[in-house]
Amino acid sequence: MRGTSANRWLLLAPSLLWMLLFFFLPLGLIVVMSFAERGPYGGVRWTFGLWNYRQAMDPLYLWVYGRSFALAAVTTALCLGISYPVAYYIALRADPKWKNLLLVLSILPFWTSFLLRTYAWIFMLRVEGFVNTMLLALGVIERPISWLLYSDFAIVIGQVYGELPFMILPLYVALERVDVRLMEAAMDLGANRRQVFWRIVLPLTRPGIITGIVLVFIPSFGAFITPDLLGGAKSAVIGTVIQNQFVQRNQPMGSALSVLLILVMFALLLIASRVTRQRGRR
Amino acid sequence: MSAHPRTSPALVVWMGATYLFLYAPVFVLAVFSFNDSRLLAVWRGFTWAWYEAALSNHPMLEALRTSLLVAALTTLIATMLGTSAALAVQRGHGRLRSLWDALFLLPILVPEIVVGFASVAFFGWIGLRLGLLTVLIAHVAFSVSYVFFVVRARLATLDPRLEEAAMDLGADPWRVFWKVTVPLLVPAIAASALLVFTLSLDDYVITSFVAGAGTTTLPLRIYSMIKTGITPEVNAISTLLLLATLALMALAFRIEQRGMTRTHLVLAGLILLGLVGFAFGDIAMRRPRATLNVLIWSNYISPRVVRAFEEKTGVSVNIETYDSNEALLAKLQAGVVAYDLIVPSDYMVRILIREDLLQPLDLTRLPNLQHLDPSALRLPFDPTNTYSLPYTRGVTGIGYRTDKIASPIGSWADLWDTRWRGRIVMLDDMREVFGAALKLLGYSLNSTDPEQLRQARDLLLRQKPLVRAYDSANFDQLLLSGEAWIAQAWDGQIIKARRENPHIEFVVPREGTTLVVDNLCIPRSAEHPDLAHDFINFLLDPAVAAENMNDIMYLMPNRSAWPRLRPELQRHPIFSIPPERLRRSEYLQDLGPTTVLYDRYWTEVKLAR
Amino acid sequence: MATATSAICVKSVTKRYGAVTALEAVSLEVERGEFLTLLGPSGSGKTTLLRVIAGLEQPDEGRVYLGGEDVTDVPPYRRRVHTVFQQYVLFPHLNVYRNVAFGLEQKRLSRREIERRVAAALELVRLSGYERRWPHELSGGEQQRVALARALVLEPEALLLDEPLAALDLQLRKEMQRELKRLQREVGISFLLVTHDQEEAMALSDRIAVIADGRLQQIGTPREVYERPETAFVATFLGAANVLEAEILQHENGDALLGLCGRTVRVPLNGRRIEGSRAQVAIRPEKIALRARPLRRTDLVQLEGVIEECLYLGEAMHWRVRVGEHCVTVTEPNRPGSKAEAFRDGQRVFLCWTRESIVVLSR
Repeated sequence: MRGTSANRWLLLAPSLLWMLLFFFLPLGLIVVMSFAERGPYGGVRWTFGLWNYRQAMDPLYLWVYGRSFALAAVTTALCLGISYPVAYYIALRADPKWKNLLLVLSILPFWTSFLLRTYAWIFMLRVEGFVNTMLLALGVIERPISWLLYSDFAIVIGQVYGELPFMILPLYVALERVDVRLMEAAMDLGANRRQVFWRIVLPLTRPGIITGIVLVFIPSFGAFITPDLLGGAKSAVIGTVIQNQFVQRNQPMGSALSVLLILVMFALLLIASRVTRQRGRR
Repeated sequence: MSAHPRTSPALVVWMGATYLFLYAPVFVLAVFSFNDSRLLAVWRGFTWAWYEAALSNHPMLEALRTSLLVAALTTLIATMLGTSAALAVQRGHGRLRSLWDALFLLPILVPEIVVGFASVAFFGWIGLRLGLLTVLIAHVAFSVSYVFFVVRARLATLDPRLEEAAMDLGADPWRVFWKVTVPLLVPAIAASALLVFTLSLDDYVITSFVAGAGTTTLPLRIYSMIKTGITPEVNAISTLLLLATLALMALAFRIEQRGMTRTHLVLAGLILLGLVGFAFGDIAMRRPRATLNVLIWSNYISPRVVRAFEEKTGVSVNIETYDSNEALLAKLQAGVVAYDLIVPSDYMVRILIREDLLQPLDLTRLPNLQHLDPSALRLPFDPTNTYSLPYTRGVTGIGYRTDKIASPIGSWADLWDTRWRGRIVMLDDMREVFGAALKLLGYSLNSTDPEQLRQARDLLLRQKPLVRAYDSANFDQLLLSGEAWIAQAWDGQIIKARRENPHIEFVVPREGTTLVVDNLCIPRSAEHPDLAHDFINFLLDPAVAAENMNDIMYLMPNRSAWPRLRPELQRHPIFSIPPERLRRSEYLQDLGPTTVLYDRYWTEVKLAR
Repeated sequence: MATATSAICVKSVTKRYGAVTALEAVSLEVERGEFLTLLGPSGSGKTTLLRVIAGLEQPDEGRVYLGGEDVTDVPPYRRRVHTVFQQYVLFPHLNVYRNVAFGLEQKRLSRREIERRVAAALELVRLSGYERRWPHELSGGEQQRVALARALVLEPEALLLDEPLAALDLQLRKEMQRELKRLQREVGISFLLVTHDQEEAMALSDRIAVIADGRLQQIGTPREVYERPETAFVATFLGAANVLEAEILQHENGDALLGLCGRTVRVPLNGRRIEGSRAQVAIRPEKIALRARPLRRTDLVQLEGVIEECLYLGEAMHWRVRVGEHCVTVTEPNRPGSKAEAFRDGQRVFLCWTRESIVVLSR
C-alpha cells in the first residue's frame, strides 16, 4: 500500500502515541524526578538539585556499578566461551540433517519461563540440593558446599544459563555466513587449522560476536531476578539496588540510579557500534 | 572434504556438555516433582501428590488465568500497533526511518527494572489505579517494539515487484494490500505474536511494579512461592508449564517445517479457544462475585480460614503478600491500589495514619471485638483503635538448629559468631536488623541518636561477611533445609518449623527484643470496605481465630480462642519469656525524619561487600 | 615414474562422491616451468583434480607427488602449491596488502622481508600503490591480480588456477590471458590452469589435458590435440569436427585402407593403433573445400552431396551438406572473391579434402 503520507501517519499514530505516553513520558518523569528530593516518609518533594547524583557518586554506589559490570562481564565472557564452539559446530560441522534440530534445541530454553529456569538452579544448588547430594553420594566431598547458592557463583551460573541462547543465535548466524572457500583459500596459502580459525573465521564473525555480547551484556547488567533469587538479597547489583530504592520509597534516588544506568548502557552501546563500524567496512 | 577435517572429539564433548548444562537442571527439576519428599533432593519414591496440590492450588490457577488474559490482550493490541507502525515506517522516507527505528529500539534496550520503576512512578503521578489496565499498558508498551522489528525485517525482504505485478494485473492498492502484502506478512506477524505472548506470559520485573490488587500474574505468584519456600509443588507447576511450552513450540516448529495443515489449524484453533475460554470465561463468571483483596505477610493466614469465609459469604478472597512493612508502605504509596485489608505492624500503622492512607474502622460492625485481650488494645500507635485492631502479637528472636549448634544460644551476639560464618540469616527488614544491632549495643531499638545509629551500622557492616542471606519470608525453610543454622526470626514460623524438625529452637535474646503487634487495617483506597469489616469480624471469631492460629502458629490476642489451641501453642515461648527480657523489649515506633538516616545506613549495609 | 623433474605428478587418482565417480584413474604430469591446461566441460572432474593436487580433497585411490615427493597425506597448508580460486576468494576483512601478506605471515619472516616481497608481488601483477585498498573496492580484474599476487608471493612449486578468468567480461579476459602468459614466463614456475574455454586453453598452454567424465581423454600440445584428436569427444570439444563412421578394409605399414561413404580411402595412421572392422574418423570443417564440380586430382578425397543449410556467420560461411547417410559441416573463411558465396540450399556440390586431414579416432 504505497499510501499517501496522511495514510502513513494514521498507521503510525496509535503505536507512536502509546509509546510516547506509556514509555517515553514515564522515562521523562524519572529524569525530572532524579533531580527532586524525597520526603521523610517517601513521596517526592519537587525541589530540584543535584544531590541524588552527588550521592550516586558515593564510592558505595560506584562499587555497586562496578560489581554489576564485573558480573555482567564475566557472564558475557562465559556465554561467549561456551557458545562459540557450539555455534561453530552447528554452523560448520554438523550433519545438515541435524543442524536445524541442534539449533532449535540450543535456543528452545529461551521460550520457557526465565523464572522457572532460575528456580531450577535454586533446586540444583541448595545446600541440600541436587549438586551437593550428588557430590556427597559420589564421595567427592565430605560436607555440602555452602557457597553454591546465594553467592556470586550462583548469580553467574543463573545468568549464563538464562542468556546463553542470546549468544548462540547471533554467533550461529555469523558463522553460517562464513564462506567455506575463504577457509580453503587460507589453508591453501599455508594456514593450518588453528591459524585459519584465528585469522579468518574469528575476524569474519566479529559482527556476530559483538551482537551477542550486546544481547547478553545489557540484560545481565540491569538484571534483577537472578541476583535477587540466586544472590540471596545480600549481594547488591544495580538492579536490586534500584528495586530497593523503591521499597524504601526513595523514588528520586531510584530515578537517579536508573538514569545513570541508562547512560552507562548507552555509552557501552555507542562503543560497541563504533567497534562494529570500524571493523565491518565492507 | 578434507578441508573440513573430521570434527575433533573435544568439540563433540563440548557440545554434549553444553546441551547437558541447558537441559539437566530442567530435567532434574521435573524428576523431583514426583519425589515423595518435601525437602530433600534424595529420591524417596514416586508420588502424584505435588501435582494434585498444584492443580488444586486456587490462587495459582487464578494467577494463570490473569496471565493468559494479559498475554492474550497484550498480543492482540501489540500485534496490531506494531504491524501498522512497521508498514507505515517501511513505506515512509528513509530520513525519518532511522529515527523511528531508534525510537522503537529503546524499549528493548532500557533495562526492565528501569521501565518498571518509571511506569509505576508515572501511574502514581497521574493517579491511575494499579490493576489489569496498568499491567496491560506496560506490557503493550514493551511488546510493540518486538512486533515492529520482526514485521519490518520481513517487509524489507519483500520483493516490491510482487506488489507492482499485482497492480499491473489490475488490483487497486487496497486489494494489493490484502491479497498480496498481508498474506506474505502472516508468518512474520504470527512469529511476533508468539514472541510477544511468551514475553508477556513470562514477565516478572515490570509486572511486579505495576500490578495492583487482583492482578497477580503467574510469574508474580511463582516468584512469591519461590521466595517463601521451595516445595516440590513448585517443581510440579514448573514441569506442567514447561511441558505446555514445549508442546506449543513443537507445534509451531512442525507448522513452520511442514506448512500449516488442516490438522494443525484445528489443533491450534482448539488450543487457542481453550486458553481464551479459560481466561475470559472466568471474567464473565466472576463479574457478579465481589472480590476481597487482602495484602498480608507471607504465611500469615490459614487457607482453610479463607476458604471458610468464601463459602460462608460467596465472596472470593484474593490473598497477596509482602515481606516487610516498608514494602507494604511502598506499595500503598506508589500508586492507587485497591486493597481492602492490610496487616501493618505497630509503627507502620502510625506512619500510615500520618500519611492518611487508612480509613477509620466502624467498630459497631465488629461485635467480635469483645474477645480481644484488653492488653492488646489502645496501644500507643493508635490509642483509640480508630484505624486498627490487633491481629497477632509476637516477638522477634533467634531460631537455630540444636543439632548443628551445640553451644547455648541466648544473645544477639550469637548472630555475630564467626563460627557460624555463612550459616547466619537475618531478616530482610531494616528496623528488625537495626533493632538487633542497637539492642546488642545496649541502646533503644527506636534510637534516633545519629552516633548510636552509626555504631549500629558499623556493627552490621562487620556482620555482613558472616551473613548467608537477608530473608523475611523464608528463614524457617532455610533452617529446615540446613542452608542456615541460626536466624533472626519471628516466633510463629519457627514454632511451625519445629513440627517438622524437633531440632529447631526459638529463643528471645537476653538484651531484649522487638515486640510486635500486627494489625488489621482498611486502606483509604479500599474498594470493598464493607466486606473488609465482615472479614475482620470473621477473623475475630474465637473458633476461626483458633483454627487460624493452629495453622500459622502466631499468637492472637483473642482470649476466647486460647482454650482451643494446640498443645504446642499452649506452651508458646512467648508465654515463658523471662520478665527481665520482656522488660528490656520494646515496640517499634515511628521515627519521623530519622527514617531517612536509617534508610541510608540500611542501603550501605545492603551494598557493602 | 614420479621423476624429480616434474613439478606435479598425479598417479591413477580416483575420487568418488557416493555413487558418483568424479575422477577415475587419472594420471598426469606437469613439467617444471610448463603451462598445462586442464580442459573439460563443467562436471568433468577438472576442478576436483585441482583440489586433490592442492590437498583440499583426499583421493580415494592413487598418489599425488609434488617435486617428486609424495604429498598424498600432507595437509593443504604444508603443500608448496597454491591456488588462484574461481571468483578470487579474497579475504574481505583484510586490505590488499594483508591479503597478499597472508601466506607470508604464517612463516617466520621479518616485517621488512614481508614488505619487500609483497611489494615485489604487487609490482609483478602491476598493482603497486593498491596496498591500502579493500577487496570490495577493486574491479574484477584487479581482484584477480590480487589473488595471483597472493599465491605467487609464496613462490610455489606450481600455481593452480581454477577458472580464474571465468568471471571476467570478454575484453578483460583477453587482456588477462596475455597477462597470465607474461607472468608465467616471468616467474618461470609451472601453471596448472583449469578451464572450460578451449580458446583460452589454446592461447595459453604449452600442453592441454582434455578431461571428460572423470577420465583423461588426451594430453598434448595444443597443435597435437587439435590436429590429431584421439577421441570423438576431444575432436568435437576442441573446435568443431565431422565424425564419420568408416569401415576398416585393411591396415599395414602405418596406413589404413578405409571404406568411407562408399569410397575407398588410404589414410595415414601416424602410429595410432586400430582394431576391429569399424572406426570413426574426424575431419575439421575448415579443412573441407566446396566445389561445384569435382577436381581432377587423385590425392584428394572427393564426395558428392546436397546442401541442406547455408548460414552466413560474418567471419565465415557455414554449410551443412548431406552425403549419403552422413551430414557434413563445412566452413570457409569469408574472403573476398570466395567461390563458395554462390552456393544455395538444395544445390549439388562436391566436398574435397586431403587424405592427411582425415584423423582416425581410437575408440
